[in-house]
Amino acid sequence: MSKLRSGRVSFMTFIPEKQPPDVTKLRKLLREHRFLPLAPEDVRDESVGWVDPLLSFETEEFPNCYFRDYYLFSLRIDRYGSGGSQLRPFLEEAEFRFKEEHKIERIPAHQKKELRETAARRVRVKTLPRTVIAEVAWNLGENRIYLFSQSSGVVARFVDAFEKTFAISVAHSLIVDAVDEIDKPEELTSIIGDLWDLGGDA
Amino acid sequence: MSGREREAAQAVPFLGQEFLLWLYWRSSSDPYFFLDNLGLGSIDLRLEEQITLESLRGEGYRETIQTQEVALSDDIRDSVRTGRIPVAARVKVSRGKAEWQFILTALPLAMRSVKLPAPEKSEDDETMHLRLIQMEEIDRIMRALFKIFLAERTNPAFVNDIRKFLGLER
Repeated sequence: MSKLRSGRVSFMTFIPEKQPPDVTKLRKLLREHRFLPLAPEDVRDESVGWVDPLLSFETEEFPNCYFRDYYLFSLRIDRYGSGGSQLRPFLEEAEFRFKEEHKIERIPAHQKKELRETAARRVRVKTLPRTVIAEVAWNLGENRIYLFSQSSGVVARFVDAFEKTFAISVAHSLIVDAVDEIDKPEELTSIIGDLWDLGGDA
Repeated sequence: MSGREREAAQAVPFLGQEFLLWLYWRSSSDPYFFLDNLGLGSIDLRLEEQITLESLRGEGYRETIQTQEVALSDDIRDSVRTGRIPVAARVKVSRGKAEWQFILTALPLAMRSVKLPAPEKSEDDETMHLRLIQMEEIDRIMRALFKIFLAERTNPAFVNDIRKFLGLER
């Protein structure tokens, strides 16, 4: 279920460098950069795009993207994992059968690569991509964006997708940013050493 | 924020540890904060149930202590006194009947797994709106507390007050 509706949340705050677009343009841009599902025969390993915040499948409509003082949408990331343990039985089977069929002890490198690709395709047909969905809330009054994830991988994909979609760059806004409001923040030194008399150890 | 300012903010990782230590102190001595001038009301902040301490000496030994009363625990205060600094803690922030619970980490200084005061089971739009407002509020509250910490930190008595609390008077 959407984190907008229930559950504990971990979030990151961003400040966009420009004002948000109007809702018509927002819908158009979300549609243009919407999430497109991966197929097993797809050459891509990963698909990243926007979905409606309450309807996490591929949609062109985004019916819930304008909610009171917020724009709401979600980043969906689907990725085929060709993890070693998943691939291993398929690869070992393919290599075993190839050696038997060709009556050889060692498989040439180029052939091994081909067998690996075939095995990876077999894994894809039998498995679903891993899905990650992270909600985004864009406060229109304060022009602040909240991403409901702190995963570095999700954050990197969000920043990239957001900037490509809206042509607006975003900057992280951290609790510690308040340090910039004090005089000469670059001259701050730790008090930890003073507290425990650590000298130069802290 | 300019690139230079951002660099400055990120170049002070010790502030996260100091902030957690300050919250531990305040939670044990005076957990009330008046944020009315910021439109955030008066809040009560307590560290509860779990705290992770890291040794400042040696190879940074870590221990996680679980207890209902973090603020009153002698074991925790003894550990801190011997040079173990809080690096993560479960925090409860209350304002009237509203309660936020989350894990606060020092490096990076961030809230994780925030439980919002809004009812958990409701699916109506009003609840969704309330959750968004409450998420923004706790973000603002923690930023406001960090500013208070920065201001108090400049007080010459700051280090001695914490030393006194920990029983480390010179």
